[in-house]
Amino acid sequence: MTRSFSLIVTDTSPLLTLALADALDSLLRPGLPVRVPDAVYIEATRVHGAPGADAIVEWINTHLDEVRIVPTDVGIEQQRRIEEGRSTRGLGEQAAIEALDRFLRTDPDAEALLLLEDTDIERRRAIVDERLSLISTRDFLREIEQSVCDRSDVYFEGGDHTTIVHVSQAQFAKLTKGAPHARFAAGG
Amino acid sequence: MRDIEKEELIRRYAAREITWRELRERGFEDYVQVLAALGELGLRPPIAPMDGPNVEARQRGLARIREALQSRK
Repeated sequence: MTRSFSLIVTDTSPLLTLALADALDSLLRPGLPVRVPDAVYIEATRVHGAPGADAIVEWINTHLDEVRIVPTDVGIEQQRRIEEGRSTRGLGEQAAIEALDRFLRTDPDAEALLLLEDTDIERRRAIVDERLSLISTRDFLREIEQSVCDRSDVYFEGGDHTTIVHVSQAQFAKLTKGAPHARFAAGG
Repeated sequence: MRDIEKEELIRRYAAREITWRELRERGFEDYVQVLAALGELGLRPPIAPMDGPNVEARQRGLARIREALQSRK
């Protein structure tokens, strides 16, 4: 992949879903730069102590090299409305459109993968541009899960918070044979 | 919003009859509220089938993510 290619989180729902599932790190697994429009970030985190909010803040602060908050004019308007006690509903989406537009104009070769909530991706026609592609939260999780299952080696924490155990996929399958388990991207 | 209205909206959302955007327009403040309401009713978040107006862009997205994951192996 030689072109500039980024994963853009267009809405709070994937962020909050992953935060509550303690799975924010899955956003980093494809190895793509992750961009979060400022208004989306603020919308997801502005209520300190709200479920998922602190986890998102901490996760982004831990991964500043890989995750970037994208400033937008809509984000500035959002701040103003928050200060004035006015509604900010829908501004995250507008900020995502602005961030995307700027991203594509800045680099004519840039491509972006947009992460969207499932019902929105199914029902609402998104921007049509050859450089854009879309993925739903559920499809994203399923692909991540599948990529883990496809790995030839498995590493897991040994239970003492210091030891990493390395086994082959076949050994891991044997080790966990018969153990109760669930798919984290179940359904579909 | 009354609880009964909220429950009806969440059931319709889980059945993919209305979107997250429509829930927001009808008074849901954030997605945590939606996840909590789904949980209270024993429902799961909806899953989009590979259908609708964005199929081509979604298939491109799947190809892109697989390519990215493959290159990390």
